[in-house]
Amino acid sequence: MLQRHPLLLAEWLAARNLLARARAHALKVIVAGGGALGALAVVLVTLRSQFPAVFAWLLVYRVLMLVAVAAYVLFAVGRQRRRAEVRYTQFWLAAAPVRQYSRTLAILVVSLLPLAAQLLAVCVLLAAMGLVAGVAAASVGEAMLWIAGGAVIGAAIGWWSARRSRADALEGSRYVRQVKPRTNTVASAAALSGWPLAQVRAWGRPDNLRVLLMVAMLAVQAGSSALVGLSVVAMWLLGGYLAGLLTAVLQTASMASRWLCSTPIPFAQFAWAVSRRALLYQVVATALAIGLMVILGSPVLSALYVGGLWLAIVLLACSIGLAESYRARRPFIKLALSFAALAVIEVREHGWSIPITAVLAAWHLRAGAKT
Amino acid sequence: MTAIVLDIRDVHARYGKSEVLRGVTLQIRAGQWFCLLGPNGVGKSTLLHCVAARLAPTAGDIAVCGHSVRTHTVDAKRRLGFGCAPEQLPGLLTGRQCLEVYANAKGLERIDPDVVELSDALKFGAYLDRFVDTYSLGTRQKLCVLLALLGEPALIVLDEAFNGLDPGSALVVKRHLQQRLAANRCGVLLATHSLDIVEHYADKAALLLDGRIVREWSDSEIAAVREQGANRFEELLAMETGSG
Repeated sequence: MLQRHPLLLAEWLAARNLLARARAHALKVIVAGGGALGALAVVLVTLRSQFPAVFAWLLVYRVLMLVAVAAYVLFAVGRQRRRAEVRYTQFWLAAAPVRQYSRTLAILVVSLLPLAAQLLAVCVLLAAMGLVAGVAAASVGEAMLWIAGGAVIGAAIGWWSARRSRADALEGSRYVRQVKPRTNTVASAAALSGWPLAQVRAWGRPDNLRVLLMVAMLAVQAGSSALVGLSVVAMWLLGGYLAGLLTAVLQTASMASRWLCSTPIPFAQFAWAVSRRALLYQVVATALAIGLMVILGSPVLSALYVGGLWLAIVLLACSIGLAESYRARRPFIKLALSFAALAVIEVREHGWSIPITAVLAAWHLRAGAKT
Repeated sequence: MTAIVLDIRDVHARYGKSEVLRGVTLQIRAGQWFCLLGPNGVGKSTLLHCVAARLAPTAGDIAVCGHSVRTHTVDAKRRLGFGCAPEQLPGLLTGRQCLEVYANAKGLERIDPDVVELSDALKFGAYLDRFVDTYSLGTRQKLCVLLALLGEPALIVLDEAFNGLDPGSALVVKRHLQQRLAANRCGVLLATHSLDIVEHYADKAALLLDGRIVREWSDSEIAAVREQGANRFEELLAMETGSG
């Protein structure tokens, strides 16, 4: 069948070769996969007492869940379809005589496959949660059905709504504020500290932001006052910005270290230059989030605690990301293990994760400085 | 006798199980333009990455101006100007910001005046305040060259640095490098497929095959080949690599 669809054949061969290449590093893959599964198992077992309530909540708000899943899938499929269309106009087989229906089939598969994988992962996670918590199979199955229903509805609407999209690739810098032209050029790392902020702005373009806005608006409960409604939406947007900023620091650290690795830049200068403005923005935005939580009725101490916990997480993630990137290593396994450990500590000894995070962060920074 | 700016001794390097470099030894002196030749995939870029401390050799040592890249990495990098690949430039910074950050990373107080002059000669000024992800390949290549020349490096390492440059800009860069070499300010290591550069600019050239240097040409040998007429170097290389 694939022989008649050259685009799908090319994708299949690329995926197969990727797997074959991964087989050459079988031990690393097994250790990483086993570690991730082990960490997940520990988190599942630790939090199992919460799961019956999670399933009960999911089934009470099943329509809301269906709408949220449908909204996510709608935008994701639309985005994937537009990306696939752009990709195939620039593909190495773009000049080959591929029939239109074969091209559409390839776009359909490429657009839906990642979401199908995500759906499968969510279903497996729900099944595991149900299993460890002893939740009735009917409840787990019903939750899965609602999620799958939302995914099917969202996929259909998303595919249909993106059908007339223009195949225009967006430049990463289009939504980044233009830099004022200057006449002088000075040696300064200031631009490096602005890079994560520029990256978040590039990610925050309207077609990405509307998904977050949609979810935020769905999160506002009916009958809420205008102030509460606005605070909920602002909270979601702020949360998205904070998470995006953290991701941007990690990505920027990796890209900047690859670019600057042939220079004698010391770790302290590198880490400070990449993260200082992002950290300042994190502190300011977290302070705003604490204020919003208080407006939404959260006790001041709880809001302060959540804000402190978030800043500790940011500090740990940044220190691991910066140190590992500077040492030309990938930070993901260390990040996953550290966060799994923190989750377990936080569940067992409430409040201990903040000082432990600070110690871990200092340890990683020291390791980076010793490189 | 001028100083040795690059001393590579019996360097071996591997990616996973595949051994890419199998005992490379070469020296470059100040004032010398050294061209590294070889078919695709023989290890030219790998050797350059070892020089820039991007990849640790499995055996052997590399010294930049007497500082081992392995044990005195920072001192070695201070004397190194490495032209990164154009796709590694940060798309969300402007050209000016790239120059500023790179100069800062090299510990400079200010941008060297001759790099500013070269930037003007390359007509790069109009692009200085634009984002790198809007640059063409040639404009990115110009920025890579400018970055490599920052901080008066004693060793300039360039990997296919003339790819994508228009002939006028390529000539400007070649002349600039020649000026630096004439004043013994640096040595140049260039990995290239452009035999025109070897014939007209190189003081020394070497052919890398299967991870080993199999042939070296001195200044006088290159001049002799040049006098034998056009395409002679091409034929020689084809014979050496067995593709002729």
